[in-house]
Amino acid sequence: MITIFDDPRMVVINEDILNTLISTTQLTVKDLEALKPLPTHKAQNKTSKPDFKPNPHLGEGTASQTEWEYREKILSLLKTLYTDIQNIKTKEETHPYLRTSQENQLIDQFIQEGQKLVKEHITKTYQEKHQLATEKLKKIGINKKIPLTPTETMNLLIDYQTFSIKKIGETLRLQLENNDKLNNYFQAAYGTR
Amino acid sequence: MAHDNQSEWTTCMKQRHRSDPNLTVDELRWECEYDRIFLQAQRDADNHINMGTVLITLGVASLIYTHLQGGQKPRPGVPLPSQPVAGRIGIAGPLGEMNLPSDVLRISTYIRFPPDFILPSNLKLDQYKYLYEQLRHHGRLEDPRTIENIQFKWQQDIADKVGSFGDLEANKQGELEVYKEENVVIPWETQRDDHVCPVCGLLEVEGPYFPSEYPEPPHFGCRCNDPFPEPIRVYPGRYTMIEI
Repeated sequence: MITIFDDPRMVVINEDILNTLISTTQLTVKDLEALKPLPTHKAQNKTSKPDFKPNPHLGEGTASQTEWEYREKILSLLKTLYTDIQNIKTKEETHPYLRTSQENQLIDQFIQEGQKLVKEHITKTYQEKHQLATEKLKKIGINKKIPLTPTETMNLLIDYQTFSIKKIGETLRLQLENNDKLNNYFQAAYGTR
Repeated sequence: MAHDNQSEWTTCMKQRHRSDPNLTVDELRWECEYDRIFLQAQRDADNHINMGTVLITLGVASLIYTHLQGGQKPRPGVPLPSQPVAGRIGIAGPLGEMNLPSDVLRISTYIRFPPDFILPSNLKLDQYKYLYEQLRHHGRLEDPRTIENIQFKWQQDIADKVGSFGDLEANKQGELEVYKEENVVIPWETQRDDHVCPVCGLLEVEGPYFPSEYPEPPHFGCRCNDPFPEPIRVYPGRYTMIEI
């Protein structure tokens, strides 16, 4: 390459250098965003991206306000987990083992916060309904004290709800680990991720 | 020339007389005079066309000859096509604009960088590569076809149902377990819309129920008894409606 003319910005280049310059410097971020990933084995199943919003058509009738808010809170925890895992996966410099460890920590955090949310909501709802039922009985001439200790059904419902949250987290943990191991294999075998 | 014209005219008269003896002398003279004028015009036209063709042919031949001879006149300092050119074959030394081949000039015009442009350093190229990798992964994660999205969407549906079931059951059982061991009956109230299933409709008809016999939801997503119905006080041995 040699500088010519009086203008130092002018250079004589051959076609290979021209192509290199175009491919490495002339592309804008918009052009790069427009690049589609190569079709791989991952691109076979099609589904929409999760929106983490409650389904308004779930079940009969319409969800009550408390039910809707409860579902929104659970899904917001799931959305936080999804976003955090995405952020980890986009960091190329993170070691795979460290990435798995961070994912596990996030999933543990999701389970912990989800179980706490479930326990608080079920307990609070039971207490409110106990109060309401006692007032209804009082209206028809029956005096009954509010149960002071947690009832069996409440404990079993909390147990089942907390287990459901744990099941969601553990399922995701296994599925993400499955994806990572599958990706590692494909990268080693075929150079694709 | 006049002799030729006269002989042609005489010949024409003889030929026309032989071909048609009935023609008069005036008619023969007129036709031959007419033909003679046109014949002369035809000859002149042929001569002009021939001359033009010859000139064009000479011109084309001249161009071909010039092209085959090399076209341009050699200028002082200009390398011949056989000489090396900088950037393509090798560096022949400092070059000026005038002695560059046309294709190099075209490329260098195309690559006229803006004033603030800096040739990318290795660091900048690495940054570009990192950006590309980030965008590639970003696009892959944003791609709705990835496995991560499918799995999260499955778990989203499950979490939504878990929340719905938990809240509904807490609302029902929170009241129902207070009514247990009390002399009350509780009706079964559906949502009374088009989505009510026949089983739920039948349960509503067959109610009310004692708290200990209150039916369980016949299917997932059953939103009957939400909010929970008012209890009805009963006395042993008979049902009694109590106006509240």
